[in-house]
Amino acid sequence: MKRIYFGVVGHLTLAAMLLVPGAAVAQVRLFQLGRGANTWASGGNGGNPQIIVKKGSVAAIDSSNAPGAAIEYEHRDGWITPRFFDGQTNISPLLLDGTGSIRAPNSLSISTSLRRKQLEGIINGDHSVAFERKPSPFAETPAFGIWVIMDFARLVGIKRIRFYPRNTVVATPRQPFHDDFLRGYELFINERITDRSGGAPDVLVSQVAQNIEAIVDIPIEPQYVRLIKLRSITTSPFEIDEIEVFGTGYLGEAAYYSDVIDLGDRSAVGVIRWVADAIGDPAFSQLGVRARTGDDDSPVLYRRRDVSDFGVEFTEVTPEEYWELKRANRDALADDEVFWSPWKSLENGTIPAVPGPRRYIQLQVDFEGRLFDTRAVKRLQFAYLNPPLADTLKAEVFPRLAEAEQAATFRYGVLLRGADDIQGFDQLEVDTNVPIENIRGLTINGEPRAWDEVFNRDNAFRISFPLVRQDSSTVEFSFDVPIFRFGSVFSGRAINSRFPTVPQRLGSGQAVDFGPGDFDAASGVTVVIPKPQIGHLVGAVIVTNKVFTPNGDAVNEQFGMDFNILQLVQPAPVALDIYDLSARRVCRVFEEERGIGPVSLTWAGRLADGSLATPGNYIWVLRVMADAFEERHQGVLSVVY
Amino acid sequence: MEAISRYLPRLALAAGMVLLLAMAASVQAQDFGARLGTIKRGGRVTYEPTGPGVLFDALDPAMRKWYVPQELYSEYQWKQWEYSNYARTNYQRYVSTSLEGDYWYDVYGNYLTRGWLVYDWRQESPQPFGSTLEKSSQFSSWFSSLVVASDHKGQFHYALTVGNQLRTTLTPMTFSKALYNGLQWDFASDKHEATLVLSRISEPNSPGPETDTRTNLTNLLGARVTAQVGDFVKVGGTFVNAHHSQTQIEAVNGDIFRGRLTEAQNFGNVNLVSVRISDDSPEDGEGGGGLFSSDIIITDVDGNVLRGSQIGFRPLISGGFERRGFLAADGTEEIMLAFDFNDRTYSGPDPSEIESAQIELVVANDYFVEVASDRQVNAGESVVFLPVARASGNVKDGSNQRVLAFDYGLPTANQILGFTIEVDDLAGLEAYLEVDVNHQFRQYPNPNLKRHHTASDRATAWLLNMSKVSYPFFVFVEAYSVNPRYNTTLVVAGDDGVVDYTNDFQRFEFVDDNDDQDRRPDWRRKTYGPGDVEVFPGWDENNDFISDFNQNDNEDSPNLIPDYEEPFLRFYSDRPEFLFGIDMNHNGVVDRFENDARADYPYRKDQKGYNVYAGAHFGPEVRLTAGRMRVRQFTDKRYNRATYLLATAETNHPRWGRLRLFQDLRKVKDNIVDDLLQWQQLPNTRGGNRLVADRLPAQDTVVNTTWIGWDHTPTAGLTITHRLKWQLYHQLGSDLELELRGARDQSSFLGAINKAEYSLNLGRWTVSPRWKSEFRRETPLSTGEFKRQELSEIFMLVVRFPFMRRSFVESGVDYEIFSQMRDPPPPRSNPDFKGVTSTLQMTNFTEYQGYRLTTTMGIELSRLDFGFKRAETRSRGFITIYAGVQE
Repeated sequence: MKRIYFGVVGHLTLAAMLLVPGAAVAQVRLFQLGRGANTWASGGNGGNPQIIVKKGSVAAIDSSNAPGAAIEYEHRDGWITPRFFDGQTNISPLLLDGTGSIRAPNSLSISTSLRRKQLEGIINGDHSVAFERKPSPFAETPAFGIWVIMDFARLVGIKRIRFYPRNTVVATPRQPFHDDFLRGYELFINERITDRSGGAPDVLVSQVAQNIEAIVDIPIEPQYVRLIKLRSITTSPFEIDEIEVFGTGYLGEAAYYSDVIDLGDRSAVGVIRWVADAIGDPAFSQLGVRARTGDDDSPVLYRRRDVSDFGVEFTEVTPEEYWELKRANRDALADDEVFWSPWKSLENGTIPAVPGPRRYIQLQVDFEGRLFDTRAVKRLQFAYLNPPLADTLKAEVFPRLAEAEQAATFRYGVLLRGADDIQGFDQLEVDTNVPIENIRGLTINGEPRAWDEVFNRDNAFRISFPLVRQDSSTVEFSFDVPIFRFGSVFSGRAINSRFPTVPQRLGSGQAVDFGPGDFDAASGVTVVIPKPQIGHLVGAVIVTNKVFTPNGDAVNEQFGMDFNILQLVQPAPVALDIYDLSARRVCRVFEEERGIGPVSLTWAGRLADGSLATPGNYIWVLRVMADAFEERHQGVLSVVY
Repeated sequence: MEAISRYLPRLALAAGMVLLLAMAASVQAQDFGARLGTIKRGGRVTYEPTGPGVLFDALDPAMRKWYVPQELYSEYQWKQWEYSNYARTNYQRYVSTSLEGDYWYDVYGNYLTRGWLVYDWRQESPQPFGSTLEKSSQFSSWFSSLVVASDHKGQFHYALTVGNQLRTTLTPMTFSKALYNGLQWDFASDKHEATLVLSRISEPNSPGPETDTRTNLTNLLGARVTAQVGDFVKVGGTFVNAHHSQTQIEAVNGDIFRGRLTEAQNFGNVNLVSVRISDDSPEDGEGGGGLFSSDIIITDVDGNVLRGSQIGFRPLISGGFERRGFLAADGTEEIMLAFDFNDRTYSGPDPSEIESAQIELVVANDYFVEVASDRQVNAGESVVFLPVARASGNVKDGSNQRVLAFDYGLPTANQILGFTIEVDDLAGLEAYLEVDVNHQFRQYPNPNLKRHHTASDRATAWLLNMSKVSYPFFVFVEAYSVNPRYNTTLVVAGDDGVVDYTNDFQRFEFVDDNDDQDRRPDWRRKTYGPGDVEVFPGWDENNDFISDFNQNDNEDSPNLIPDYEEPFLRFYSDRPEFLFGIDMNHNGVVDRFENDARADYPYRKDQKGYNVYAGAHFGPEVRLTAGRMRVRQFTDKRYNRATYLLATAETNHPRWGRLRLFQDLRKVKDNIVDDLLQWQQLPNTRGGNRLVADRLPAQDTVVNTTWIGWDHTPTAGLTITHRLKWQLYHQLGSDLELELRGARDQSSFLGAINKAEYSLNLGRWTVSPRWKSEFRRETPLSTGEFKRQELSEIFMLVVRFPFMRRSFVESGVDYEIFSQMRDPPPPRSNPDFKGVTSTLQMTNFTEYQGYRLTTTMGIELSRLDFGFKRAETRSRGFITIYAGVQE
């Protein structure tokens, strides 16, 4: 088992900050799920989660934290995992919860209500009720070919199935039907729906034409199933008291939903971290965490639907009002896409890319794994700032189209909007692909202001300046950088140096009018290259000293090459080889993985064995060996003495 | 010249008149008596529709009503006013003195026949319910759903076949169906052949008592033409097209082969187009689809083109991990883009004025892109995503970044156009080349338009087989490429026009999955819903539709024990583990026994590669082959590479018997997953198809397979058989790699079967002692599975003596000593035991009422002794009578 701990540094930082005297102490708060009062089972002590679940064509609201009771809170203290079954637990009652079902589709000679009662009786542990196929004075009730289909509507691990009539496993002397057992049967399982789209054929696990055992106990190789189908192949009347399915292992898929957490007021959410653990082989399990934010406490849209002469009218109502409406007046339940964001996947230790600041947040933890390989989560936490740095922060870069490789000057602008009390920001951190150059011309609301460069790294730079807090304030500055890839995004964060742990993400959009060519609708922080330039991994190759003299006189001593790696999002192997004119490789000058950006290579005329190359012409071959293809460039160089 | 040109039209007209008169004269009246047809002057009978004429006899200026002598006058001389007296001539009831049926005429008014409508298929447009199809009850009852009309003269032959279950193949890549329901017209001459197939595949029957009429339908048109060029080369062309049709629209309105939107597809405007980007190889959890930018290009009905980004119309994007410059859909993550034309940011043309919408995405890495809209729904009104594009290989570094632009539309047609070249014995050279281009058409729905914007995707597939034999040497080359988008499927239109994209029963396949090559397709599809539940290719060598490993099983008397475990029968049946053969996809199953759930193309979709081998015969008995194969998967970074050496030898000596050797040594690198659906007979079952996952046993492996068989008869009546199979997988990967895979360094199977049978005749008595020894040593690939080593020694004695004339008694003993050679015994395996089965059976053959009755009665006692517990004893008595037909 490999335990993954995150957030120790963040924790310490936060704890230290909480101890710092000053105004900020009360404003940065820490929310932890799975610790203290906010246990996993509590859901975070917010409003009930409202998850739309569909059973057939009917939508309903599941307000539990674990729809379908798919989460295990007890198996490992303080942790959540997908529901675990120890091999001794009868999981048939699960069919009565959530979206599962039990059916006997060709059992037609009894009333629907009686059939439903009997079918529920064979999975709920009630030993007085049995599913009966026995003749009566009123109906023949044929027994042959009767199907009983159990659909868990998800993958559950099973290892054993047992079924029997009454007065066998549990004595029911008032119903002495122990001889009315199933005299011939076929038992099928299926991990999908039978033979429909995306389905699979049923798998026959047992077929006994002449059964003599009242209690049929069938061991099954531990595996996931969705359907269990029992078919009688006897004409003898029979009954089934219980069908017991013994579950094993973890559920293949499970989801945990936190409550709708009220942060008190609109808040900026900082880095979200969680402590997770892999059970079994981590290669076979996955964990996903998602978040969504909202402006009200209901992520579901409840609407009343009224039909009049003027058409159909929709009116938003409260959940309580909705459920009191007649069914015909209830509009279909849907996620509220106006006041709530879509679910957004998170990565551990990053700021969630959800709209904000908002008052409400909800988290989702998705598990996926195998019977005995899964994930567990102990704690999930984030800091939030209330009030936030700003109500909205928009950023844009200009120009947004640039020739690849050409060093260009970009102007960057940030617009702060904040109608109420806000904290403001005094630092900006902007993401880049390569280090930028020549930051200059910073203005706040058009006025030149002093600024400092906090850092300028390969992937980001940060500058500081006087606090910006006023509504509609703008910050503008310029910098130089070449573009190497379609979709170079200058995303960024605003930081208030008093609350450095809760930076606020810059939205992409119209912030500043940069003049002609800056169309509001196209404003954003993404710079693209002309589409015809897509597809090249290497830019222009500039060769210096094509003819060189490696004779130690410090003049023209080495062959040089400069080029840019373009487009890649991950480093790829780059190699420079020297060949003689008979196509024999004489030297590998360079072989290394490189990402986008400039590369400079030199060759001092030394061969692989360290000796100097003999005078003459050679061929250099530059190769970028990417996943999709290998891009080659080549040319001739000359060694002379 | 001028005179000729002036009179040419008149001459042509005159010639035409003469020709028509000649044709009219050639129509011979048929003699059905006066009961039929119209009697003309001179007694001539005609059946042509003439309409009522002028009857001069009825021109008298009398006031009384005139009754034209009609049918009863002709038959019985019955007149309207005539006194009827039956004293001398007794009254006779009307009888049908001639054939029943109706009169039938062609479109020219030519009388065709009197009889019954058997098959009628028409399509008329524009009108509702314009497609009518009727297969009358006579079609199925009189003709068993098969009607053939044919003719020939000299070398020219043609036949028109209408049937519900035709075995039809054009080429293996384009159209091959075990049960084709439709019409087929074939022509053949000495050097040319042609075929035309036509069917209304959305409903090729008329299920009810009435003619089946439809407004929305899907038609199939297929054709193949071949021509012999010279003595050795045959060239051919193939065309297969299935398209939706809507009879309320004029048929001659654009290219009918591109299809039409059905009424349900075109019922409303598109208000929302959704795009889903996911990871094409989610199992690795990284490098999934990357989205860099997105845009939509809208063209309105006036031809104005508008870019979404120009008006600030952007999709609502959800999901995806934020990376520097792009969103990533890694693992199970999905990026959803919703272009909502009702969104407040949309200020383009009204949805009712949109003619086409093109989605433009800049994507990279291992993307899988699907598209949907609010018009793209199944029968349950659920939105269905259909695939658009997927990345080649499993790129993770962004090097395949591209602009992916596609027009949105709903599927309307699927078409394949191809050609073939066959070379037959050209100096020992045999070759077959097939190239096919698949077009999948789609149209943008808009109910306000009569013509819809059509877009298409193209995918190609080709294959080449060449062999050359120049004794003793031979060489074979095969190369192929089948694009992952190559598609021989179309979801047909329902009666109401709904195209249920998620319903397999509405999916029409040009090429069926029928691995066992029987009369039933394996899968459950349109025109054949039941599917084939018994598929065991290669396991039915006697063609009785019963698995050769459970020969005594049938519906009336199910047998739950495979023959190789059943007393007495097991002498002649060996376990499937002892089968041998070529496994070119390296999934551990011999290729000729494989069953999958894919269309039966000669080569698998989504792969390209080659295989070449050459060898030599060393005399008539020994053959050596060396070969090399390279196969690559398009959509994933997976491959199947092997270099192999095969040796086969077979010798038949009058004294030493028949000796066979098969040796296959190969070095393999295979990580392409070839899952199968294999027939397995699990305990207590009659068998069924189970998913057998390819565990990729040869990812970097040396595989050796040796099989030796020796049959000989040292003396009369004594037959001795030996079988040896040794299979070894030696993994070349590092220890760490093997540990991660949970695989053993070496996995193997060693099995040996020795059998002897002696038949001794003592007068009328026959005594047959038999011995069978089965040894198995197995080391599975997975470290989670246990090694096995078992030996089974079986002795049998069967004595048969006839009595009276048609009866005999057979008595047998089957004694097995099973040795478990692993200590402790691995799970789910038997410990040591001894088992004996004794059977006494009397059999009688009687001829009875034309049948041959076979009666068996007897008793069977079995005893199983595990040593550590009390022996189990079972008994069985039986009396059974079978009625058979004489052979």
